[in-house]
Parts: sequence; structure tokens; C-alpha cells
Amino acid sequence: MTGTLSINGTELRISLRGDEVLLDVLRDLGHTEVKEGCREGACGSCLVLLDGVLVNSCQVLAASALGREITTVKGLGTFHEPHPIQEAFVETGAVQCGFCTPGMVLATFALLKKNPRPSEEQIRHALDGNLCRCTGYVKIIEAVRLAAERMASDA
Amino acid sequence: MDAVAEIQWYFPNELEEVPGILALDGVVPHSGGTGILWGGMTRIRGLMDVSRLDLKFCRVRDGTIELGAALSYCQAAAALVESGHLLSRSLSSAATEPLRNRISLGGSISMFPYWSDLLGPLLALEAELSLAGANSGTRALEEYLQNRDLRQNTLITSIRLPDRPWQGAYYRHTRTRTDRPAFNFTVLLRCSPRRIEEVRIVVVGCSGRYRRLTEVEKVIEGSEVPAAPSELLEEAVAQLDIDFPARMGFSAEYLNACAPIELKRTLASALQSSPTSRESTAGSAS
Repeated sequence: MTGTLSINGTELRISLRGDEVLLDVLRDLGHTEVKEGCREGACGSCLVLLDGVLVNSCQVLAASALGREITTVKGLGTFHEPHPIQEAFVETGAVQCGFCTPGMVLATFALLKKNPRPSEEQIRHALDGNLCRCTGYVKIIEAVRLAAERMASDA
Repeated sequence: MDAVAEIQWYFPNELEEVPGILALDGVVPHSGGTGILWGGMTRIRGLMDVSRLDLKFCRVRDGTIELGAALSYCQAAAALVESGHLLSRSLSSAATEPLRNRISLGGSISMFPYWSDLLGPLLALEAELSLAGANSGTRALEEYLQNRDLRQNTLITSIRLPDRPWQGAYYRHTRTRTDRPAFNFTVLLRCSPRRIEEVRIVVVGCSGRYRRLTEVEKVIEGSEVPAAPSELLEEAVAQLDIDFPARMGFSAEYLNACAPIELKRTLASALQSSPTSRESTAGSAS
């Protein structure tokens, strides 16, 4: 089947099989910032925003995303103009091997959009679908707190 | 994922198109898709995406809450959160947020995994389902779950709940918060100032998948509201007659030992809770 996907604001005409998941389609299109982890929706490394809603792309059949807007971590900021969340992750040392980082950043983005001033408990709750095998959770939570402060003062 | 033949997708715009599509060989409804991926796709020839149908709503009228079957867990929980509805609490505790954004009410009912955080509260609330397709009409949820024929070539379009105030508590037995529960308890109570007038207790995850615990309900119903409930709850839980298989890394022996303790705690929590109902404004979820 064929259709269009809008990825980070760029519309693409694609062909796909009816049983393909969004994760595979995005990676085949070169979006390797969307990481393949567990393929069960348990690790959060493949998170994307689908029409602004946080989803595990390994748990989304790609055909159901046709005609919709997909945002990967590269859609939030660029190397030269990073998003405040991305800056906060770098500044607090919340990035170790980096594999979980795209998912962590997107989960943080989804949290702060709904709740600009989350408590530590709310941060932990929002990130509980994201696994970091380097176990750098303390720094990650620090990064979310810093990003929240900065985004609230910029608003 | 299993190797499969090419799967055809259908995108109906109107409910009238649904019976014709579901009558095609091997076509199943697709809402969030998580259950379809979990169950494997080898027998599926086609998927009917319901996103263009108007099935994402929450309406309250004539003493009934009606939830569109395509609502995700997050959307349904948000629609009911203001009143502190028990269903909002149980759905918010399921899985992780990205998964709750995809798991739909209708899909979860039709798949009914034993770890469902939806079915216990719905069974206790004596929910009804609106169906379209081969078995169109309104059916009690319990009838739908018992009769597999009702699921054939049929789409759940909405879930109806009586909008009555209940005291309630929900417990899910997990190792970590995001685990699937090995079992869960739903307790609903209606109390007058002095008496416990009505009790509904449902367990999901036991042998036979779910059960209404009428043997426990009988002990509690009609009792005076106790100042110190321990003795009453002890007596009620002593009647418990359920069995659990080994699940989610727990042995059967462990689950069978835990269940009475956790049921007693859940009952105590329900007795301490405030009555809730859905009184806020209805509308579509976004």
C-alpha cells in the first residue's frame, strides 16, 4: 500500500506492507534516531510523537499513521539550535551511551507540554516507560527538572 | 513479527460501512493495534481502522456514562478524572503512558488479557456494550465475554456505565508499577450512614480469568458500617474461594497466599474512600 507520512514537517510519499510497524518504516527512511530496543513497548527507546501524542513506534502499525504528523527527537531541535530539553540533558550529564536519550527527551517533552512544573514523583511516573541500561536515572531526572525550570522562565 | 501475507487495510468513514467490511474473511477491527501485535498477525487478512469513525467521546446523560470504544486509556482516564471515578484510577495505573496512549477501550475488551486493568471496574459497574456488525445491538459486558460468538464480525462502538456514586478501591498485584498485574481486585460499596447497602467485588486474573466474589459480598452486604472494620473483613475474606495459576513470575502458592491479604486491604481502602460519580461536563476526547 502507499500513502504519505509527515515526518518532522517533511511530507513523504511511501509504500509499505500492511503489517509493518512504524519503527521499521522510520528507520528504513533513515530516521535512525528512533532506536530499536525491546519491540514490546517496554523500553521507550523507539518513542515518537504521533499527532503530538507520545507512542512506542514499535507498537504502531505504520498504515495507521498514514496522513498523520510524526515527530522524532530530531524534530525538536537541531545541532546548532537544540531544544532546551536537549541542552538540559547535555548540561547535567544525563547522556551516557545515548541509546535511551531520544526516548527520554521525547517523554520529557510530552510531560512538560502537559505539566510545565512537575514534581519529582510526576517526573518519575512520566519516565517509567523509558529504560536506561546505563542506569543514569538520577542525572536524567535532574535534566528534566532543569528543562522545566528553563522552559517555565522562557514562557 | 510472524511472516504474513499482505494485509489489506480498510478505513470506513461511516458506521454503515462496518458490517460489510467485517463480513470479509479474516478482517478484524484496528484501533490502537497493541493487542493485534501482541496476539500475532498470522490469521489476519485485513484490518479495519476505526480512526475515522466517531468513536472517541464521553457523554453523560440520563444517568448513564457512555464512552466511545476508540478512546485510548489516557483519553478515557482524562475524561473521568475530575470526579475521581474508579475507572480513571485503574486506567491511569495500567502499563506506561505511551502504551496508554494506544491501548483502546474497545480493543482491550475484545482481547481481554488476564492482566486487563479495564475489565474489573467495568464488570463491577455492570457495563453494557453497544455493538455494530453481525451482532449489532446492546449487550451486557459479561454476556459478551462469555459468548465468543458475539465477537465474530462485530465492532464494539461504545461502553455504557450507570452514573451512580460509589465508594471504591482498585488493587493491582505487580512487582513494579509498570508490570502487568498477576491479578487485580475491584471493590465498589454503597453505604447509608449506618449500613453497607450494596457491595460488588470482582477479581481478574484468577483461574477462569475473572469472577464476581459473591461469597465475600454476602458477608459484607447489609452489615453495619463498622468503626473498626477488621473483624468484619476478616470474616468476609475467610469465605474467599478463588484459585490463581502461576503468573508474571509469581508462583500459584504465592498468589493464593497474597490474595486474601490484599483483598482485605482493598476492602478497607474502599470503606475509607469517598463516593464518586461522573458529574463533570461531557465531551469529545482529543
